[in-house]
Amino acid sequence: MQESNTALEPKRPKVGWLSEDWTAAVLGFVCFLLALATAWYSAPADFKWRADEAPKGTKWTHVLKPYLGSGGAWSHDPRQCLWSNQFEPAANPSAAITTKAETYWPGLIGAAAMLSVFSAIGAALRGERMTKFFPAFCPIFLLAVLAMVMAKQESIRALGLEYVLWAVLLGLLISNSIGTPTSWRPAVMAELYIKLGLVMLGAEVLFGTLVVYGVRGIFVAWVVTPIVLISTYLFGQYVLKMSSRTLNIVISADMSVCGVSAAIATAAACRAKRDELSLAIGLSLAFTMVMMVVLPQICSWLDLSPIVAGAWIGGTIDSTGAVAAAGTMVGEQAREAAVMIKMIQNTLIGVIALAVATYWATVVEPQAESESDGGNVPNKSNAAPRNSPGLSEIWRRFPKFILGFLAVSLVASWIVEQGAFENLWLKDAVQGGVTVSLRNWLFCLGFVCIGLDSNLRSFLPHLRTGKPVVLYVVGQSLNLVLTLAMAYLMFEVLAPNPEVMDAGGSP
Amino acid sequence: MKSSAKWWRLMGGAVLLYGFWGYACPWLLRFPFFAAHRELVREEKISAGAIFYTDLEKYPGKPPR
Repeated sequence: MQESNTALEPKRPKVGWLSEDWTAAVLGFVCFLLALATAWYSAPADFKWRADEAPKGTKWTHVLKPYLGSGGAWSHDPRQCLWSNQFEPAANPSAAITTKAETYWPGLIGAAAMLSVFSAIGAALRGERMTKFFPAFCPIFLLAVLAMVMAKQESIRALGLEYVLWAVLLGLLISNSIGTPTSWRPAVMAELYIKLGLVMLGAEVLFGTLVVYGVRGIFVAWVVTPIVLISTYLFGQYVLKMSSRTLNIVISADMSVCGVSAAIATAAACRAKRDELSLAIGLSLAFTMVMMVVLPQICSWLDLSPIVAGAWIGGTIDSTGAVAAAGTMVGEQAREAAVMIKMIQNTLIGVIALAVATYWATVVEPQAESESDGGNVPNKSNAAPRNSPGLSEIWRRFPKFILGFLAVSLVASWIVEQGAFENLWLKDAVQGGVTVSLRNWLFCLGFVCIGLDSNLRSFLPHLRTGKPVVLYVVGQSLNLVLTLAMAYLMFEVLAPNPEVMDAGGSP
Repeated sequence: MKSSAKWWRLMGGAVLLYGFWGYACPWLLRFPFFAAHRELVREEKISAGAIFYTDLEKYPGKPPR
């Protein structure tokens, strides 16, 4: 039923022209460059390079935007998601969700075409045969569409249960009942989709975001977060004595940084098992659902100022959408603060992925290999001293797709800093038109494949011990205390009357 | 496993998944905290499951639409 249970296999044989990591890095970067280039066809008429200001209301809609969508929100009729929002009944109280008529099917068909072409190129570079790939891709894409439709239902959206959960569950349903059909196998490429999605995510990780809140934002988001991440990881290793280091770091990262996206990046960087990534995301979604409604109430009971409450919410709730929702429950100023802190924290993804990949390549994997070579070495005091791996060895182990991610992120960050129109070019046209949609679809396909490649029994050992839940709860408790202390210190004690957008507010 | 048993398992799993998605999750929204939260995200058009800030309709620093 399942071939292996690793998210990223370290010693996968190179069957095509490029290894999977390089395929993701090169293909993702080329895709980003194509998105930048094709944006020219829809540049605004009054386009002016290096302008300090773009005329108010200027729009830059990418030429591909209508052909690359993931459907719309719906409440009662799923045709609203797949076809058009015109099926919304007039008497429906949630009609306020949709304000203008939109047609979604060209976006879905375009997404299917674009994703199949990109995935086929990726599969070809890895040596797969195209005649088998396309028929295999269709059912997997249909499962991804179903996951998107399930996630876009209004009640489900309100709970923050995103498509990744439904994608994994649908995949698990198939693999653990009738088994994943052999004919689907050529397109079951969880690693490639996830890595390509992460390289696309690079276009959204803009380092200029760091300055939006000045030093105070950096202290809340960039100082507390690594402290919580490392403390939780050490707690898992030395107190809980978790058997899987990868599960430990993935839960620590998704709890301390920003939920699903951080879990995906960290799991790919440390080559976590598929069931570990699914488990970490399930935990994160479950706790986020509760925290986003409880935390605003606690802020109100503690009588926190809106800006401290916002910073606290932004620094602790995992998912960005839940942060926006919880911040809004406190007030407009709290939402601004919460989203800004989360944006700063989001930019940590690249740094965390790079740090985890380097730590795994230099410390964890050599240690694991020396232990497996020399038999079980549970007692550290008896372990033979190991040599540090050489640079070539570190390079061999390093997940190269992270270089693609960093390259895209650096180019995107540089473009945004050039001027107002470059800002529009990247954020409005490239992100809004191409990379965000592509990233979501690639993650959705990746999680369908993770489900298709997983066995429910592999979750049992983790659930039986209960250690992942304890790790999450302890780590999140520390996160809540430290973030509140830091937010209070930064926004109440050191700067009692801060302006929300004190550094310009334009990352 | 017999072929028919596999299909029964698929049907059983699908019913469970549908029950979780279509009944258990919406049932949570009947509780006052969740109901208030639902009204708010509906009014403000917030996707509470956005996994990255660029998934949000509105965020600071985004070019005006």
